[in-house]
Amino acid sequence: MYKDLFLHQVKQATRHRSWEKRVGTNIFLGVLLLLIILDVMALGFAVDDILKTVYPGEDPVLKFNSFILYYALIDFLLRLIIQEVPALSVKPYLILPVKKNTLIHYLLSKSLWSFFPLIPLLVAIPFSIKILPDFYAGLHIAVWVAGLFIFFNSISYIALYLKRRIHFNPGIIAILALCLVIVILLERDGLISISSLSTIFFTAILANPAYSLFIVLLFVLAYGINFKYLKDHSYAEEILPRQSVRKSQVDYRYLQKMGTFGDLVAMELRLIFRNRRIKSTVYLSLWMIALAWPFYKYYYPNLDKSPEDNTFKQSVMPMPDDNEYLVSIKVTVDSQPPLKQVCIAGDHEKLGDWRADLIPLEFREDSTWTRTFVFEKGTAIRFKITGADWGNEALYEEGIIPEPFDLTVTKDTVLNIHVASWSTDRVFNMISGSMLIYAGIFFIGMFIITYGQFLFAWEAGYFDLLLVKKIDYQKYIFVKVFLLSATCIGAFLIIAPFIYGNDLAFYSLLVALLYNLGINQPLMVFLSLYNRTRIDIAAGAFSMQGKSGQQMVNVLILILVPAIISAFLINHFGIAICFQVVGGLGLAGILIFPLSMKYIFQKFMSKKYIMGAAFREPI
Amino acid sequence: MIEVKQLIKKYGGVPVLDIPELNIPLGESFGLVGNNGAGKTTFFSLVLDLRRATNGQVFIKGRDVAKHEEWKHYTGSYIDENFLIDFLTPEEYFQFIANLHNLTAGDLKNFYQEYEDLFAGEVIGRKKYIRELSKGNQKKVGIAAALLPKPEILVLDEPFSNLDPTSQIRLKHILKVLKEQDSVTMMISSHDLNHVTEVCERIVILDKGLIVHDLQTGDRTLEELEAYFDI
Repeated sequence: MYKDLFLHQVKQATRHRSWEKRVGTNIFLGVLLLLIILDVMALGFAVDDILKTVYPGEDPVLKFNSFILYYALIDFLLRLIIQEVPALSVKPYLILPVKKNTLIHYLLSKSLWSFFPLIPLLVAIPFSIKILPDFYAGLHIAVWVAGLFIFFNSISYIALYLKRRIHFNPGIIAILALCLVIVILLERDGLISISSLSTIFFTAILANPAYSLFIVLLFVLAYGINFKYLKDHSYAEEILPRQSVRKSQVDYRYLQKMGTFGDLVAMELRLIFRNRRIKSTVYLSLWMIALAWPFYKYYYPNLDKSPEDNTFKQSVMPMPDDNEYLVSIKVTVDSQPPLKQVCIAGDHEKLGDWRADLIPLEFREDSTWTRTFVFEKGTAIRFKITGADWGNEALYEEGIIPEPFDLTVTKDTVLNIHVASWSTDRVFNMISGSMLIYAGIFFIGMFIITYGQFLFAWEAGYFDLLLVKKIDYQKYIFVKVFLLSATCIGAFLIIAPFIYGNDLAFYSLLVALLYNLGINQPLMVFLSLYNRTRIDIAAGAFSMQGKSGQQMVNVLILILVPAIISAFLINHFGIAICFQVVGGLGLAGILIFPLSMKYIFQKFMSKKYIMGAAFREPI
Repeated sequence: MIEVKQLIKKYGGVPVLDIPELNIPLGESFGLVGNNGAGKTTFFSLVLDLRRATNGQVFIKGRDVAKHEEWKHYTGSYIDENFLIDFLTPEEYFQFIANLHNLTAGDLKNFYQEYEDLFAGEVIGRKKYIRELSKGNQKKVGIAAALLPKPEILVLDEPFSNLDPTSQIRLKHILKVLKEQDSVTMMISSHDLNHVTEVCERIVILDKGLIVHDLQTGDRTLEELEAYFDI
């Protein structure tokens, strides 16, 4: 019996509709998946080195264990959001002479076949092979790894149970996410320590495998509450997740006064707000746009930072003793380093022990960077000038990383150093500058990326109706374009006030708006003519249904292309030209709007048969 | 009214419909019967330009349905749930259709009166979205919406299935009135030989995509049909 059910599950997975698509897409996805797995395993092999570098002096095993609980918390939260309660495919079995217990075990075992609990394993196994054998016996390691697997599956079952009982709308999720953030902040400030708990428990398992019984207990508990719940509520209508029953009673009377155009807009709005999947997509996009504010505020302060913002001042001039001499470093620069901070890094303790950012220089009114040191007579020092990061070294000749300066202290010395450029100027500017552009495009074009992807597929459920009724298809397409444009402008209006002071960011946002309006938005409408799957709009918020390699490619086109263009332009011509060109492209797109609309309309008329046929297929 | 010429539809090289010629004159009530897979829905889809013909054309009032769109102004149709916008209430749905055809509030009011019996109090004023109605009531909404703009041509695919007995009789009555009083040209498919012989004056039997019989309905037609299908 179990064997049969298991085989059914395998067949269901392998015969899933998404595999029937073009072979190319499947290969692409397969390769992508393989790359992800390899990357995660590579991470597993590198984890101990990473831990040793980031947390020097701390035992990497302890440190690794300290993260486990936090990962579990984040994983738990993500599952509450993304995980779908597996229920619907049980229907055919309910009327067959299958023992109820068997069926419930089958239903629950489906969750074990998830890819996500495997990810921590992919990191943990290489780690355990590489490091742990030095300290612990093989059996202990095996139990530890198995314990992790069972632990994460327990988390998954607990999340499943909660999802069955409670309907998690975006509001609750936001509150939970906030709680997690607060916990992390409290940890950072040292008030609570979940990481210590994590360290103690998981290291204890390594020392004494018997402790893993707690995990087994947790698993049994988590599995058990799910089992009991399903047993008590085994009617099909109770197994299915609860739907929220609120109705939207908005009256679009004012829109109806605007004729067919208003009708179609009203229809699109109803489509969005009365269907779970689309509504969630829209709310999710709004949340993502809200992320723009912390992004611009915290990730890019350096772009606006000026050297005067640095607070280091050498207030007290060192007084040399008899055997000591003053060494003054005076640096003049042709251009300020990207992080707007100049430091000295050398082999002496006073020079920071080769730490690139430990010993800052003071920025003087005359635009020089200075600092004065005291050294014993005869001290031999070696040092380099940095831009507060080993990625930003001072260069004296174009493109050549210099040797360090050597100096033996024999008398009071003043060193005048003139820096021509910084080693990552171009790369830094190129990356950070182009990042501004595609961050802007990402935030402003959020709705284009999320809602615009399935512009026509959302309406698959009644596409035939649209085909047989006398609808002005030009207007129909225009309504969609209009709504997408409105979201771009809306996103701009939401974000702009928050970054108004930051000139660079503001202009990048404006450029992103023009580019999205002129190029990305008509492009997305065009690409969505190639929607070929009927989207289940009654499905859960974060359903993966309908997603294929096509969607990823679309997003890449929308974001990667301007990113590459910007990087190229910034590298060769600077940010100003880049803004003008990208903005200009957008403006050009807006100007040829009637032409692109006509083209899309014609394409629609010729593609409507294929679209209709594809949308008629059951989900 | 409706002319079909050399109409062929193939899926992957396999022909599923092949009608060299078919003419449906104005005001004719045309019935289509056949077993599953005979090509009835395919045929209707081609008439309504929902699918692209491999070969041939369908002309309505002399114009190719694939190349011109005037037929949409006076053709009402209901094939399956893909014609319903399930997240609207029936009232909103009817309003949408009415707006598309520039009908007035008065037209809509007459419509509700006319179909009050068919709706039997289960469709209007229930504060339910169409997706929350039973299959039979959904069908009533679809058929009524097809009739709302008072079309000259009506295309219905299996309209009687899923309807309760009283509604089936009411629908038959409605179709008869449309035929006699308004000379509506009707194309109706059905698995119920009884209904089809009662409503349609001409019946065509489709088998594996080909027309195998084309009869004028008479007293003995029901017997003939039953004999044909009694294999």
